[in-house]
Amino acid sequence: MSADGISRALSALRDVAGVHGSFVLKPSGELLGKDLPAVFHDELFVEVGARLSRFVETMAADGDEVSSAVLRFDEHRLYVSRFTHGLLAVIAANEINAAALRMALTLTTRRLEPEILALMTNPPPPVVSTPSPSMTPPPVSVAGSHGVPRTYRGRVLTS
Amino acid sequence: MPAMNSGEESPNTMRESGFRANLHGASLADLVQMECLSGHERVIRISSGTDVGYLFFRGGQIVHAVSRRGIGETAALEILRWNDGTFEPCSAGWPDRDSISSNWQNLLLLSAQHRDELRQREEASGHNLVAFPGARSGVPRPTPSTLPPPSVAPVSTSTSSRLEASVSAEATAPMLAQVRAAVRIDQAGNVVSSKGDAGELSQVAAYAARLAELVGDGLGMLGLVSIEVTQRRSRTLIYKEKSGNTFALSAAPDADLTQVRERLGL
Repeated sequence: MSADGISRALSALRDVAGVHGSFVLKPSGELLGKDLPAVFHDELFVEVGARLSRFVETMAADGDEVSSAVLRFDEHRLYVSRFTHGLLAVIAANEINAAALRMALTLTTRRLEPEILALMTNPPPPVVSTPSPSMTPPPVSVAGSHGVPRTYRGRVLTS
Repeated sequence: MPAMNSGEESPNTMRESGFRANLHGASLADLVQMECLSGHERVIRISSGTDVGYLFFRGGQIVHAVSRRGIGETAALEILRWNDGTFEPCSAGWPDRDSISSNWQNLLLLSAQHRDELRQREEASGHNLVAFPGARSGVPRPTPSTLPPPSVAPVSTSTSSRLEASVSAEATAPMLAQVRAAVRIDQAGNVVSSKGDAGELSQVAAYAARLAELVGDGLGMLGLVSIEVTQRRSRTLIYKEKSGNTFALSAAPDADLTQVRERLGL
């Protein structure tokens, strides 16, 4: 299953009214997939994932494994469901049918788990990225080249 | 509690035929049982120190109660908690509507339960006990205005009193029995109070709450209210109080935390 496939599986959770989106993490906190608005960019989950993973580890510090957690905030809730190969987290409004969400989480987890296992055992080949124009380093100025003033330690030489 | 029948009767003391008693060592429970079994319609004035209260008996039940602090079940339970004093029949005016629907046996049981809880608290005074937190100001606790209307609508204050009494005594007590450990920690991580083996719970709660806040910040969710974690062998509830303190409890995995959530306004 690709990241797109995971996103498709996660999108089923939106059938429950009040669900804003969801994401899946490896047990170590690395992002496996998400179904969230674009504002939740992947880089965000480097820290969020690691912290959520540490949160689950903390709660299981005495060896009592976490099955699920609900983090309630002023206006939102974060439902976290732990399964063998990862964590499924759902961002939802406070007014949500918790029973419906639990059922949806169960089904989604069941669908995700074997696919994530396959993804982890057969990871896709690394993508060779070409540097974008903005990432391209500026041309090195060659002292004395045509049209470029000569500089020394940042100062333009006049002679 | 001895019955008072001296010449120092209050102005509204009722004079009626029959024996006048002077019993030493009698309790209010004795009085209630006697009055209820007799089935008489009678108002009893109870004095204990500076406190005064009235119990209204009719048809073998306590149907109304008044004290300085309340009306209805709350007043009845308050009066039944008094340890000593005097009681006497009086001619106080009857209310338009009854304010108590519980039967007298239930009231006596609740009263006994309150006494036990009070005694336990007194015995544990000086120890590190955890007071159960109230709801955050932003999340209103059940109030008369937010609670569903009562099936019988007596005096409005008695409605809230009844519900308050049932929450504190009937609902919370069984729930608290399932709590293995509880702890309150301040913002610096110091244990303010604890119950049971809460050493590790305090550390877990402090760190987990911090991580949850950071996760929330990262996802644009502000104002951590609570964390509820279901584990294989336990359930953990962490609650951020308005003061900044963190309250945490660990309960049995099959513990029903419904009353806790309701009480916290979750």
